[in-house]
Amino acid sequence: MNEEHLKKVLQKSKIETSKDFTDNLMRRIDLESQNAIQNSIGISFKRLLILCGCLIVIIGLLTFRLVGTKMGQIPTEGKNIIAPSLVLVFGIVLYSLNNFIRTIELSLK
Amino acid sequence: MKVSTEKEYERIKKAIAGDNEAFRQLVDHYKDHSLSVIRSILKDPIRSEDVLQDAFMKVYKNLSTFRFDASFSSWLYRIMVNTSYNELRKNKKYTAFYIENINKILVEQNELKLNDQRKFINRVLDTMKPDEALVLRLHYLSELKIKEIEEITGFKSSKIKVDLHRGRNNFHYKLEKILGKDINYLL
Repeated sequence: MNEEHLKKVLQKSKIETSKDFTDNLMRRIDLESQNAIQNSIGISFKRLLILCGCLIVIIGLLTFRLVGTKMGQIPTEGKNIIAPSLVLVFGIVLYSLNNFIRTIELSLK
Repeated sequence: MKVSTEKEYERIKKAIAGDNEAFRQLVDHYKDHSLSVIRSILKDPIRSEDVLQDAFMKVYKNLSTFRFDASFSSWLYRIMVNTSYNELRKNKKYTAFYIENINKILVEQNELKLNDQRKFINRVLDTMKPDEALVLRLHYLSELKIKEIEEITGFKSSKIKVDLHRGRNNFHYKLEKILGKDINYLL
């Protein structure tokens, strides 16, 4: 059998996949992509929980330190640092809340 | 079989950007040749298709690592070959058992007429050593040069040449042994 004959014969050895091979593969890709998104949401959800926990502790400490033990009396005069600090802290709280809600919305989709 | 490189690169870029339709086109283009490559190594038709799916999943996940200065087919076949050899290492016993079964089937089919040439050729290839069958298919079916086969398989060119030589002889010998004079139907 010469080269030409061998080539001719081996050209006939081409195997075909089943008809639904590509559909099954694309379905698997979609499924794994969805799982990946859900996993990443799970990770960001955990991160957000830790972040919020840390923020609550920081806010608590700051409030306690800046405002004093009497929570009912917030001294806004005299100490210039208190008001901007509180604005910053509340800004961070609002930002994390916003992220928290968005994460929950994404996980529900 | 061959598509213009620009068109293919365009499809790959689209697939990387998340266009699944572009990836589907790549799969449709390469799936049959890739299956032949995997079958050369694993010998098992059913398992080969499962491994092909796993290999395409790897291609999908690693598509962004493809360097556009290289040949996509070589990159893709390398993934197919590596995945198949990994699978072969895992299921060595199973493959050996399967080859024994094929030998029996071939003896039974010796009396049959050549109504399905493809089946016969593939069964002969299934009885050959994985490296020889792989090199034969890559060279004669996928029409790749020795350098390209070197890139895909990681074999040295001297080994490829030896495998090609032995593969040609073994293939002819086994085909002739099974078909006798009927071998002319294939030519």
